[in-house]
Amino acid sequence: MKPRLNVIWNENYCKRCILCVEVCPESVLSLERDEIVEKPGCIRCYQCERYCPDVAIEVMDG
Amino acid sequence: MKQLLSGNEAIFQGAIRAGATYFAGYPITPSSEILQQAAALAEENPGFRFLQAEDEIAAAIGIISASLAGAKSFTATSGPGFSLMQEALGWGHAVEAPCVFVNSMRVGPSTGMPTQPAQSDLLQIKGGSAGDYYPIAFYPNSVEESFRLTVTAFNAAEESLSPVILLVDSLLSHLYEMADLDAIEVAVVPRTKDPLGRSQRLFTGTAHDRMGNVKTNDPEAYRDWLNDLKERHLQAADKYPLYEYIPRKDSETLLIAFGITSRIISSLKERFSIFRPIRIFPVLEKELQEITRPYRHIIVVEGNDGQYASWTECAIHRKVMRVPCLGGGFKFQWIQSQIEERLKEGK
Amino acid sequence: MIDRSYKELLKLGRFPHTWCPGCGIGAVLKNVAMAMKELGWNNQNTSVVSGIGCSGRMAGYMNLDAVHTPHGRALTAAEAIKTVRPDLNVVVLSGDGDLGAIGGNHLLHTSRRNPDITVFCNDNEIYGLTGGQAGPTTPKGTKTVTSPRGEHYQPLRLNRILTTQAPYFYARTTVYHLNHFKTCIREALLWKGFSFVDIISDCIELNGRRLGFKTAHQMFKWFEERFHIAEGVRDHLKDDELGIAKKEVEAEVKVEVEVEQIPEVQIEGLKLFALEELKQFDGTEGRPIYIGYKGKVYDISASPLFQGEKRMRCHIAGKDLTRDIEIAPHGEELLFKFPVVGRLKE
Repeated sequence: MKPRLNVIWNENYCKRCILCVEVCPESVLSLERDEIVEKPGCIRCYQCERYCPDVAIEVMDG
Repeated sequence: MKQLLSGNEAIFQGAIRAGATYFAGYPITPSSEILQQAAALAEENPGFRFLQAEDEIAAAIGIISASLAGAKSFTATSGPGFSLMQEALGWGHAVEAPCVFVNSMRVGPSTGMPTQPAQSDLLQIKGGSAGDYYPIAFYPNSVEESFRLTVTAFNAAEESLSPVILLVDSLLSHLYEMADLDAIEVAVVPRTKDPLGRSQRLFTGTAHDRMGNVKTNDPEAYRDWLNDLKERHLQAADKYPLYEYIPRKDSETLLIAFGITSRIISSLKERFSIFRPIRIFPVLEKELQEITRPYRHIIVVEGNDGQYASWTECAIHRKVMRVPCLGGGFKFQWIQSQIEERLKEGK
Repeated sequence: MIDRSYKELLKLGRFPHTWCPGCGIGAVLKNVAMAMKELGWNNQNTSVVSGIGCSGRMAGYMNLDAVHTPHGRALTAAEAIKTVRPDLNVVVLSGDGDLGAIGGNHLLHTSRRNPDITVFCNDNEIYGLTGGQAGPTTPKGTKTVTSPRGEHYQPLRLNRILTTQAPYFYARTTVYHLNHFKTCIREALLWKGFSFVDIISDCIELNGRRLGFKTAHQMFKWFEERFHIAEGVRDHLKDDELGIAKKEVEAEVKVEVEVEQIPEVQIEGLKLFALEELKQFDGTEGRPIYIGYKGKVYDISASPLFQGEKRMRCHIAGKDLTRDIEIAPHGEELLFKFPVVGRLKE
């Protein structure tokens, strides 16, 4: 698993519906080889966390 | 003080004595008087809650939910309404909710003969809902006994954690007799199950393990759970092996009858032995086996086409003769002539 | 920062939950838990009830005493629980098929009895758990496994059914309009009485794909096209509006049973009118309006109802109205405030 920049992704809870990928206004998230991968550029809008129906993604505080 | 009371009034009084605080129901002949008494009591006593539901489905779900919420609850209906309650009855067994269903039987199937008595909902109790379950059912034959057995039904419900059925028939519901209910002493089993709002339990009709975790693909967890439930129900039922046996030494014939039929044939005790099961379910297998053994002929007289007779045959592994009193026809002379005929033909 | 304490209300040990990837029910569960947590609701003061179907599984994921009822019966169960335990907050988590079809009768009657419960309806317009059959809220024309050429019938309009008689609280929102969604949940939980939140939700696997959507998010965009947020509190919501329609209990019209004293009026010596004479006083050409009643002649020119008119509904000026007033929905007391100007000839 690649190191995380701003989001914590829970592999076990995630069902790969890619809602987080699609709601991200900066398109920093993507699904690659069955993993949610984050590129630099997160603006910490929390959209991915707010929309995730599986409680599987969190934006790191601070 | 002695009072002239109907069966329905005695049942309601029994429920109140047992500590019932919730009633939900839907009007249906011949059990409506119980609903009406509940409505009247709720107007006077805010501690007693009442719902006239939109249908029997809601009434049955209502009493089971009220029971989970912490109230001793009951409903009263008749055959067609009881059919609608079957779904809830199965659910009540699955979520282990103590409550009491009163079924005042009338002639079926379907609407049948609304004002005529019958005893034809026995199989509906045992197998009307989906799946396996182990219901407990009692059937009184007098006004005073209706009162006592209502309390017993509530007690058995608390002990088995399941819906218990009190069977009556439309004759008994509307039979008036003198009774002094205040003088009757009964033991009341208090509620032990924790009400809602205490922890994180899940009460579900979906298969689950002992902890309430949903397990829909686990035969072992299911077996464990069902065996627990069965054992608890049978143990609770074992405390109430209720029956009445009037032996007649020189008789080779045993009549089996229950509820109102046993009252009608009671004068035949001069000629025959009579056995009256009071606990209808679980069937009194051991008692039936022992009591029927010495008799050459066994005749089951009942207000249906052989429902209890079949159970008796299963229990004692012998053929029995049947006198089905159908369509509300409970005339003594007719029953007597039928018995004579059976004995003459020997089948 | 985001408050994540709502997780205490979820049985995370059983996650990932049972629903398909992208299913809206997860969002309903999560947001309801958030609102409950904010309001301080917990397992000592709250109980959840659910029905059957995918949405029925929600109750099992909450760290509360939960009741999972047979199909359609969630409302009945919730009402009974609330009746017995008024101290508990009772929340129903269920779906459109459960509440609208198999439990439709209970929806009508429970809402009529107005118990203080809150209902969250995961309205995905399909029977998901059973494989994608048409449901009561499936829009007309939608292809499903039981409507292969498109659903034939109009959907059940919960917005209309549930806002027919006050008091009511009906909110429609979607799992996409998150802020709106949260507001609706919170307001519904706080509403005293029966509150119903119709949450338009996505069933991507068994409905969305057949409709041509590839991901849950594409369905969200579709919700955005179909619905718009109606600002402010409404009495009713149109079929394409998201918002809250609520109405407090209508003040009951109290019928005052005050017996009014009939004033004694001295009529001796007043002018005697014949019926023919009375006819002239019909208010036309600046004449006053007179009517006869029980032997007396009243001048009702000051009545705002007769102003400038020869007749007021069925009453005609310049006539003996004794019989009219007897059968009128109002009583004779309306007349007594007007001056008596004469006697009526038999």
